[in-house]
Amino acid sequence: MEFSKQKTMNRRTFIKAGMVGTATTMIAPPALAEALRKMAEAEQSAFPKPVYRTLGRTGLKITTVGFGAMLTPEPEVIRIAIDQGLNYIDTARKYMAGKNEEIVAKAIKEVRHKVFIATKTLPESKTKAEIIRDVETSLKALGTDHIDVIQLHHLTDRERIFRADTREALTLLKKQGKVRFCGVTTHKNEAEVLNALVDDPDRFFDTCLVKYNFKAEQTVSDAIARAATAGIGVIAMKTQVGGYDVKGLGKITPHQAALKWVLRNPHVTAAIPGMKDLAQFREDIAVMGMPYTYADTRRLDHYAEAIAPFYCHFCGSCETGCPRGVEISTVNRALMYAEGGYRDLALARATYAELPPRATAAACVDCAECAARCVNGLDIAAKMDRARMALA
Amino acid sequence: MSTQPFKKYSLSSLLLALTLLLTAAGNGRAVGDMEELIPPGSCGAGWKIEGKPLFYNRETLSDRINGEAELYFPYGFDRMAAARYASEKNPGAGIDVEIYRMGSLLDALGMYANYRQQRGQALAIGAAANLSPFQLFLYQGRHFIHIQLTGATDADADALAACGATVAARLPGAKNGPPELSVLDRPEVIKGTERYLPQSLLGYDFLNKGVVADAVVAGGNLQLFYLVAATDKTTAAAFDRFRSLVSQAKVEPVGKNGAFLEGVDPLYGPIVLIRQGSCLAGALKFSGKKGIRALLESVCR
Repeated sequence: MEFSKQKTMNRRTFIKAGMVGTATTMIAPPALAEALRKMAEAEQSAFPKPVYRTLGRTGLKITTVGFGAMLTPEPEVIRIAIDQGLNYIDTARKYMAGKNEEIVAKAIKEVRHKVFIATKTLPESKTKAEIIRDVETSLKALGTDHIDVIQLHHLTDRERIFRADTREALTLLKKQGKVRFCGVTTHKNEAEVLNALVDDPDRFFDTCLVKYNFKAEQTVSDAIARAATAGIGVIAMKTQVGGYDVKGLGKITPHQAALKWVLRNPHVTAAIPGMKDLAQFREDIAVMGMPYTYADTRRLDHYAEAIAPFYCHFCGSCETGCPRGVEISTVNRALMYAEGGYRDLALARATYAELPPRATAAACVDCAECAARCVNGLDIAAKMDRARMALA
Repeated sequence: MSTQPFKKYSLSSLLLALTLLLTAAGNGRAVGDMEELIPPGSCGAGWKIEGKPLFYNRETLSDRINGEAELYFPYGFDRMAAARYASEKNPGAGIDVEIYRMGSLLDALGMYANYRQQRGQALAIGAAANLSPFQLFLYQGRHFIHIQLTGATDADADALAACGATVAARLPGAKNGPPELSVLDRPEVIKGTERYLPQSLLGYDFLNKGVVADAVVAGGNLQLFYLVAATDKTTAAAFDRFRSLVSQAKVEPVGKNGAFLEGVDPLYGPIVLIRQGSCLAGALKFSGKKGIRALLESVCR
């Protein structure tokens, strides 16, 4: 069974498999490369085979796990992913102020034909001149003559989807063969942006990179389904919810489960988890072809439960109910630094110390009963007690 | 009564102090907001501040720079101040200044090196500065600064440099690099190539807190790396992980508490590694081994 094979793959197998492609193309002399290839061949089948889906009307067949390169410092890590069959790499003009595209360029050198490259114009670029400038700069930085998917970065509403000068620039770039397909990215008001793409009578944009994870609202899932049905290729980002270090949560390892949760949605073509190192790459790539199981649901439930006591949304709604004027959300933030995945007591205390004395949890001692209420059900009195004990 | 004027004086002082306290609390400012680091009126001649400075912390940084915020967290980011300066001559053009407070001087260097542009021009601002047509990066003390020209089609290096110097003048901390990099003060190392990575050095999750730099030894290029803030225990563990990773490994002991390793790394090809006590240093991406061992030994000395 494919799943059990993946589970039994050890690090050595992975390394051997990864060694072959990289060594043959980049570093090793032919004899050594041949020896390495033979050594790994026997176990190559144990490595998860790439699984492909079609990216909407673009027709591109991309692996269900793509490579989010934003945080990857070493091109070699991206290169080994390409050698293992990942064929979709996502970067942006903005990442590392353009340097991330240069890292991707080093990774795709000589293997450009094996991968689809997606990048993004600068979030603030809107005019024809700015869009063309960004694409030209990206082409140069990436060391390629074409970009497979160029995306307008960080849309928060409908407005930029319908800008005539933006479309004029993208149409020109397509005619010149510098870009193949156009898309947008969104991690705020995602449903509005997705629905606008569908409502566009010209169907100008082909893809949408959207924030989507197991905590997503139903409206986003509905909008994704509508977009996919309309032929828009949907790629998911921020799939791991993020922010919380799971080391302090015992045996709960929700990352694969979170990725599987996203990919079980047939309307999602692929996910692009950010991968900084080989360990993360190995963890993510293994998900391709794995079914989402009841055990995954339990893992995600446990993860949600584990972070729930720490998970203040910092909305501040509770503060209106506090007669003492305690800045509850800031106290909670300080507490999160101490108790959440950060585990940084110094930062927690420094944050707490920035509060005026009247706004700290010390003011709570005068109250017999806490009048503040959390819309998400957090026990505010208990959290203020802990903050007073740990941070004062 | 002789005490009356005193009472009146102390009462008015108390009221004044209370008023000042309430005013300070009411405008939302808090100690450490970094507002004092933002040039108040202009950032270089002809660039006037527009609106109020904005402040971000670990929870809100992604509101401004999206997922790229994750790049900052391993470097101990705790706060950022941002301001925009509008051109008095060129409507629509602006300079965006972002000042990031990182965990330490070494962390600030690490962020700076992440952004430093290969074709950028080195400027004598702060501990180091790197200028490209529309951007200036610099660091000083534990602060990393990104200055960006926006809304302009023509580059303006002078404006960026002037703004950078204005910001640097307000930053605390000496204009020197981190002491952890002093080991790189040698002729073999190519200046301006050093990078600090708090996690996943070389893409390996078992190598944390390390420096990488390019060097030229015996006429050949290579990449040099070493761990910082390491102990005997952590270097021994990292060395063992490396040994299990590489093929064709040849290991020889060095002194009582050290070892030298040659082998083929799956990502980088031939690699040499030395461990001496709490020092772990290595070289990769080289074409010949001549002189490399001596370099690594001197790094660990």
